[in-house]
Order: sequence, then C-alpha cells, then structure tokens
Amino acid sequence: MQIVNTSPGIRIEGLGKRYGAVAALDDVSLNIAGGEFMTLLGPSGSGKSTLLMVLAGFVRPDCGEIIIGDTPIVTTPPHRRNIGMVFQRHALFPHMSVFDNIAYPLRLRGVGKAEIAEKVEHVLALVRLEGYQRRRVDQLSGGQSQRVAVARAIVFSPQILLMDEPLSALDKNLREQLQTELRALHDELHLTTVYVTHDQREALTMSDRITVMAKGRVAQVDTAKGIFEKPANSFVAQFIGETTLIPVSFSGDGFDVLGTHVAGVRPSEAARRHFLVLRPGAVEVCAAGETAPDFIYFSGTATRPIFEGESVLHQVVCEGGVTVQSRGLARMPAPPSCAGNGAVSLRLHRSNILLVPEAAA
Amino acid sequence: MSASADAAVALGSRASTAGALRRDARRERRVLIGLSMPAVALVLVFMVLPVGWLFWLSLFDDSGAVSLVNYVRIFTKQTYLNSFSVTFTVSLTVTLLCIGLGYPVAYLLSELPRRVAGLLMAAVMLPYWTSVLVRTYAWLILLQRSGLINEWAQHLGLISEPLPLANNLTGTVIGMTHIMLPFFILPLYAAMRSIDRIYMTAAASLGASPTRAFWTIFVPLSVQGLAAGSFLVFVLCMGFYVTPAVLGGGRVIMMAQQIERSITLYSNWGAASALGVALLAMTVLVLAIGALIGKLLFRPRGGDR
Repeated sequence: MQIVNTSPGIRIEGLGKRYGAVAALDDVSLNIAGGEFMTLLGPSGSGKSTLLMVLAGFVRPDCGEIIIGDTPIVTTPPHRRNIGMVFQRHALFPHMSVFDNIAYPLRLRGVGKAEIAEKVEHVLALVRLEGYQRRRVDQLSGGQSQRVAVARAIVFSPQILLMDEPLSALDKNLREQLQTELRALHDELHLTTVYVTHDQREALTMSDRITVMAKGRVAQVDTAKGIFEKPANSFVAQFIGETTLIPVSFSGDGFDVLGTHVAGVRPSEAARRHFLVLRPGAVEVCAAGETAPDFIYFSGTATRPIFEGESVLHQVVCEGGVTVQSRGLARMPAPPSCAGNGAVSLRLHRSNILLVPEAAA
Repeated sequence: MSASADAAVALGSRASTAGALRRDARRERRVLIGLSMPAVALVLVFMVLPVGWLFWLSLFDDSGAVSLVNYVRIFTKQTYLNSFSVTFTVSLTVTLLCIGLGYPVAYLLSELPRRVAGLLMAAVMLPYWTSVLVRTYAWLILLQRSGLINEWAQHLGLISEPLPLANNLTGTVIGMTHIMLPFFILPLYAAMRSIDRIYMTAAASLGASPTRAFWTIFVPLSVQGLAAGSFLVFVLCMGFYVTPAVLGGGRVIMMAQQIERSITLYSNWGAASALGVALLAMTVLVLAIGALIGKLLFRPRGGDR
C-alpha cells in the first residue's frame, strides 16, 4: 500500500503578516519543490513558526498567496487543506487510544472499517510501533508519542507534511535517533515536508534545503552544505556553526584582520562592512612564529583548553581581546604550546578564508 | 585511632541519627493530627451526632415503641411517594436546564481571554453572593400573576391571560435553575479551561470542521467537568427548601418541605427523621451511581490486556 505517490510543490508568494508594529512575515517568497525536505531555520521571533502556521491555515496572512501544486489555498480553511501536521507537543487526543487517534482523520473522511485497520497498521509499522494500536496515549514515552503523532499526520495521505519543532521536547539521544528516522521516512514517502527548527544541527543533518529566516524575512535559501560554506551574510554565518565573526578593514588588494594583512582577497562588494568567518573546525593552533605559504596566521595567548570528551576546544585571545576558538580531536597530541598557557599562533588555510558582508539591519 | 574504631564510630552515629529521624517523623505526624482535630471535632458534633440522633429517632413510633412504622409509611403513603417523585422530577429538570444553559456559558468563558472571562465570571457569581431568600422573592415579583413579566407581556399584547409562572412547578424550576447555575458553571469552566486548545488545532489539521472538532474532541474532554457540575446540582436540588416553598405556592412539596411539615404541623419527629434518613440515603445512592458511571465512562479506552 502506498501512502503518498507524488507530493506537490509549494509556492509562497509575497506573504506578509504584521502583529501591531512587528512584522512577523515581511514579503516572504519561497519555492519548495515536490518531495523536498525543506527546513525553516531561525532564532525565535524570526517568523519561521508564523510561516508554518500560515501554511497550515491557522494564521491568516495580511497579504500574499500560497500555491500547493496548482491550487491557491490562502483562503482555504485549515480543515480543507489536506495538510498533515506534527506539533511541538504531540497533541495526541488523550481520550482516545493510539488506534483511535490515527483512525481519526480516516473516520472524518468516511473510510471503511477494514481499510482503516489496514492503514493504521501500515503507518504504525512505518514509525516502528507495530502492535501499539490498543495502547493508551498516556502510556507512551515522549518519543513514542511523537512517532504516533507522525503516523496520524501521514495516514490520510496529505498533500504535504508540516512539522513544528517536533523533536525539541525530547532529550538529545532520542532526538538524534528520531532525526534519522524522520529523514528515512521522508526518503521512503517523498512527501513534501516543511520542517521548523531553531536547532542548526538538526537543520543541517535532515534537510534537502534550508531556509534561514531573520526578522520575518528570508535571509538565505540553499542546501545544508551551501548554507554552511557560503553564508549570505553575517547573520547566517553567525547562526550556523559556532562562528566567531571578526570585522575586517580593506587595504591595498587585500584586508587587515587581527593585526595580519591578507593579500589578494577582495569581495566584489567591498563598500559594505565585512567580517572574516572563523569556525573552530577550520582554525588550528600551532607554535608561535610558524609560517607556511598556504596559511594565514594570527598570534595570541592560549588559555586553559576545554576538554569535551572526543574533542578539545582551545581558546586563544588575539589582538584586541578577541577570543578565537579552535577544536581538535582529543586523541591528537595537543600543540606543544598548549600544554599550559602561553603565546601561540592560529593558522587558517587560505582556501578556508570566508568573508561575509554585514547583514542589513 | 584505628580504622575499625573509625568504622564503629560511623556506625554508631548512623544508628543514632536513624533514631532521631524516626522520632522527628513521629513528631511531625502528631502535629498534623493535632492540627486536624478542631475540624474533626466540628464534624463529629454538628454532623455525625445529629445524623445519628435522627436515625435513632426514626426507629420509634408515636407511642415510643421501637418499630419500622415510619419507614413503612414513607413507602406506602401517597403524599410521601408524591413528594419523592416531585423531588426527583424537579432535581432532574433543573439539572438538565443547567446543562442546557450553563454549558454554552462555560464554553464562552473558557474561550475568552482570562481578564474578560474573570469579569463575566463575576457576573455569573454576583447573584450567588446575594441571599437565596432575596433572589427567590425577586423571582416571585417577576413571575407572579400581576408580576413584571405577565404585566409587560399583556401590555405588549403577546398574551391575553396572565401565564401561570409562579406558585407552581414552573416557578420552582425557574427559580432553582437560576440559583443552581453558578454551582454548575464553576466546575465545568475549570474543566474547560484545563483543556489544551492544541487538540482543537490538531483536529482541524486532520480535517475536522470546527463543529466536528467540538463534538468529537472538546465535548468528550469536558465531560468530566460536566458530570461534576451535574451531580453537584442534582444533589443540592434534592435537599432544597426555600425556593420550592416560596415559588411553589404550596403545590410543589419536595422532601425538605415534607420534613418541615411533619414537625411543624404534626410534631411527628419520628416521621420527619425517617424522611431525613431516606433523603440522605437517596443522595448517597445518587452519588454512588454517579461514581459508578464515572468509572465506566472515564475508564481510559484501550490499555494493556
């Protein structure tokens, strides 16, 4: 039995929504391909949840249009949109068993008894909860509840699936396990999915593409790799990865940063203020005074390294009191100068030099 | 000091703290029991003893001999049987009216923002804070033959003859419903407030129209509050005295009035006591049935076999 054959794409055009003076959505346009796993990522107040609620039909936008497949739906009430939704809290009906919860959308659609039983069994198998039909909702663990919620959201073959931070209430291990499971489920069903999260790791690991949102606007849309490697501006760079942004000043054919001149690197738009993106994984600690042609170097003073288990985080205070972090695998011997505190150098490979313009206010 | 001596000291101090902890726990229990004594004494003196005395009195006939004649009379004499049936009819009607009138009000209150709901709740509770007697006479003024309602309706030409609204069952039921409504709305409102609205949102996302979601999700989730309010009203109605006495015009004789008559008209303490005991038994029976229904109805579905 096939739950979903072909899932339509979503076209969002010029959506706007204001709450008083605050723009929750400001001229948001976005194209989501059929069968795509699109994540809306952003800090709280960025408008990602509002956008999801507008898609589901629970928030009425002030302007704009949403087209699913070829059908404009912005004025369609939520219960006629045929959209599956998984909430942050599982929202399973407490007065119904697992079976009745999953059967609910099917009964609303007048599906026959035998078919309901068959479909419920099928989706429970998909979320790996075979034989849980007769369980009471309050007998389920957090992870099981969320699996049932997913089963209930897909059992009626919705056109698209929306998920609003579905894993944020779970503990870390379970969250990571369910991330894998949800992604596997998506690969099986190819259901167009819009997934909201504030967890950048979750977004990077699960998505086909990520939409980073800020202040009600789309800051960048790209694949996980694209977002990580080519952040569009300082906001995106700051939000993805444990990034330190260092302001740079342009001089000659290059720029100056932390007391070092880097020649031959100039962004096209040099008029805007730019930052150098330093990520703990790209920066290495080395002995003070080391030089090699393919690297740029900053000197500083190392403070006590932070042991993280599999990795060690070195913190180096550079010129102007800026702390730059460098992460190394714990099994590697610590750089000679890092045994205690003292003068060290930080090196960054030239291919890892990444400049981003300042985000518009 | 040697290692074994250290261990002995540690063991000794552990034993002594265990004793101290036990003594402390005992002392705490004694304090808690002591604190509840005034209330227990009050219940004993003003509840258990009078009810026991009543039961004792009901076992003697007019001549002072021990007999069950008072109870036999309750179940054979037509006036008493009528009284039972009237009490039951009135209580049931008032309860049903409270459900019909109170459920929408409680729903509205639970949907409103808390501030506004608080104001409206005060409006619901306002009559509750005035004397039952005052409210009952107010209803008499409104409902009687030459009362406000009949006068106005006649002036407006809606009716030609005054409607028999007071001094009968209708008046009694109207007055009692008004008095009972706050008792019904309060527990129901509390139950409805505690229903997470995300369930309604989820139902809509699954394809339920607002009406459908209301009946399949909201109503079942509010049914415990509904039951609590209904049984409260029903039980309060069974022992009600003032309103039927005033608005019934002597035609609606409920149990409480029957008891009063037995004493003031016939000074028959035996009969009055037996009626009181029977009323108490009926109330307990109703509550027991309620508890049973609750157990069957709210036993969560599914579950491990």
